[in-house]
Amino acid sequence: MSAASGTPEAGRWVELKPAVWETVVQACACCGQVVARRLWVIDVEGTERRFCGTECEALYRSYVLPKLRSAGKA
Amino acid sequence: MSTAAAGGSPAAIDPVTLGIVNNGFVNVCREMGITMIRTAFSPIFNEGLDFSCVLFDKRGNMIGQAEFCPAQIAASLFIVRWTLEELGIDSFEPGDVVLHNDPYRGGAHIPEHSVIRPVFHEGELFGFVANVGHLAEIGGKAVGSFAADATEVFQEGLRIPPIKIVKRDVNDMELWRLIMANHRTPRNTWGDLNAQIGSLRVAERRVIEMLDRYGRDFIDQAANELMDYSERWMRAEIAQIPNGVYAFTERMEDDGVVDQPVTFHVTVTVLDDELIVDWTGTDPQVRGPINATYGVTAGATYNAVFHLTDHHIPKNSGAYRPIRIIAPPGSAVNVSYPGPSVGGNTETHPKLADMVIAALAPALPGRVAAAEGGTACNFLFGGIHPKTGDYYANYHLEGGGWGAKSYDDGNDAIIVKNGNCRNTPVEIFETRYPLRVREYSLIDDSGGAGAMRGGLGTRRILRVEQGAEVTVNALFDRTKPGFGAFGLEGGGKGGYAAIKVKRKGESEFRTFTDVFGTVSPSKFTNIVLHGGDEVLIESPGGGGYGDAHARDPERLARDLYEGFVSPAAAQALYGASAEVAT
Repeated sequence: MSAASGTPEAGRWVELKPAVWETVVQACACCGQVVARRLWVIDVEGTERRFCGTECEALYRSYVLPKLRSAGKA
Repeated sequence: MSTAAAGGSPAAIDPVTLGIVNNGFVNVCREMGITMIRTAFSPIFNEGLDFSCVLFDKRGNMIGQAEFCPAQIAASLFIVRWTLEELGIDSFEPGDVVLHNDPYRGGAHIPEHSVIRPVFHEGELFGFVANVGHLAEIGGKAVGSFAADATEVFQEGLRIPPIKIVKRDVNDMELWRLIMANHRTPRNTWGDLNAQIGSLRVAERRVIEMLDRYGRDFIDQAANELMDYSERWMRAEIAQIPNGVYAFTERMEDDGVVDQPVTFHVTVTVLDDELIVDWTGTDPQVRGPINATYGVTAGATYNAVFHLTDHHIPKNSGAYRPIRIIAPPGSAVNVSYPGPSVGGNTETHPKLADMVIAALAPALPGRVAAAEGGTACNFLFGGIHPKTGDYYANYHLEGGGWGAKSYDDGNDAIIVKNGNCRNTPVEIFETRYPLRVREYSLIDDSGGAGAMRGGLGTRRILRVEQGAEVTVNALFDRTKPGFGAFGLEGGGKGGYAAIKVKRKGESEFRTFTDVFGTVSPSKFTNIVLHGGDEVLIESPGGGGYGDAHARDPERLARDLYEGFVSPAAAQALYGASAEVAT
């Protein structure tokens, strides 16, 4: 569920099933940590974002987005 | 033991019993450490103590740790969680041991090998015991596996994703053989990894004893209450820091491949009882191996916060919860595959930790310290021992000066704060390797001047034995002018580090750049030295705190008596009269 909006339908968990030869990794859009198995995927202001969990989605909305806006990057 | 109300939650456990259980967890980890010290083959473990022992519940929460290496302890949070997610919790069986050293899967750097063993009690999984240890040799382009000019992880050694090296207490010898074939000193690898694995068996026994004594439900409840208690305590500590946004910038002299400084930036936001530590603004990932993994950056952040808060807080996952970390992927604080990172743990971690501390200096002037030496002075060497004919390799660390605090001088000759490792005695060094220690001393005037003086660095001179040929590598920092450890509140910078060579028959030490043409004077690999050649290692001093002219005359007099400050520096930096200085 979306920690920020509290709407369970807003996001979804996506299971990663990389082939044994794959080297591309998925990093959380907020903290930067590489995600091992499950991504929290949700639309944030029209753009799909991938997080390691709902806590990072909440931090992205409350901390990262305002910073990007003030820097004119969002 | 607590009693559950009918149909309700169990009553809270009394503080005394919680303390006993917490001490039980800590002592399990300490006993693992003693097992390691007594059974490992390499000096880096039984003398240097470059390993950490940790206890986890079955959800991957850390519930116990002891006084080991902060960088490894923090990284273990990510290593164990990653391993559980990648392999799946249901894949573990009694007697399994997972081996893992992948820096992109939560690890700190590639020499750090984690072994993880599940603990079952009466047929049910309780949790995991883990041991993270820095193997002294794991292959790669440079002996000692610390390639200071590596540009890809493949040059740094054999990378191992989480795999079961022991299945139901039976070694998978096919995997062992593969590993042995890729390390330069396989006998040491065998002994050291088995020491790590042995420590897990000791820990498993002790945890099961606790479970037998108190009961599974009680220990689960105690672990949860301890984590909540640590979280509340950490939040209360953070709440004492004034809300605000604090920032700091620091530089490293070069990355070992490109002769340019690397810039790190941190912004610390204090918001009531939480910290957001944002490393945005740091340089993009660099070519050389000083990039930090996410585990290193997170570990450095936690390390700094623990330096600034009450050290009695039980160290478990609860204490880490109020600290949020942002480390942009593909930057020097969060390396992306296949970027190199072996030096990120030893050179970058201490600087990142000092940056968080320095950023919060305006908010916590009585708790912070100036910068420490900030380089582990990694010196690695190996070759064929002329007396035994065996291949040897060693990872040598050098302690430097720590930063002065508002209330005291910095400590002398202490390993960087990511490590918590110990000095290897000269006698051990000379017994094991064809090198003689010609000098080992504190360097006068290397501590940054201040009302409180920075700790002193050390000087060590090694001579290669006649008839020996030694291949050496180094990964240092703070050797160039302007890159010394910073002071605070007007304190001076610490003295510089140095790694130099004097060829047999020469009279002067010169940099490896001067003699061998290395790109960096402090980071290089695969230089061959011969009998009679000498190496000079100087570790840096710590930064000073406060105006040097305000130093207590009694402290200065003691410095002069001990030879920590020279008469010339006493006059020039501390304003002492010629009469006092002499």
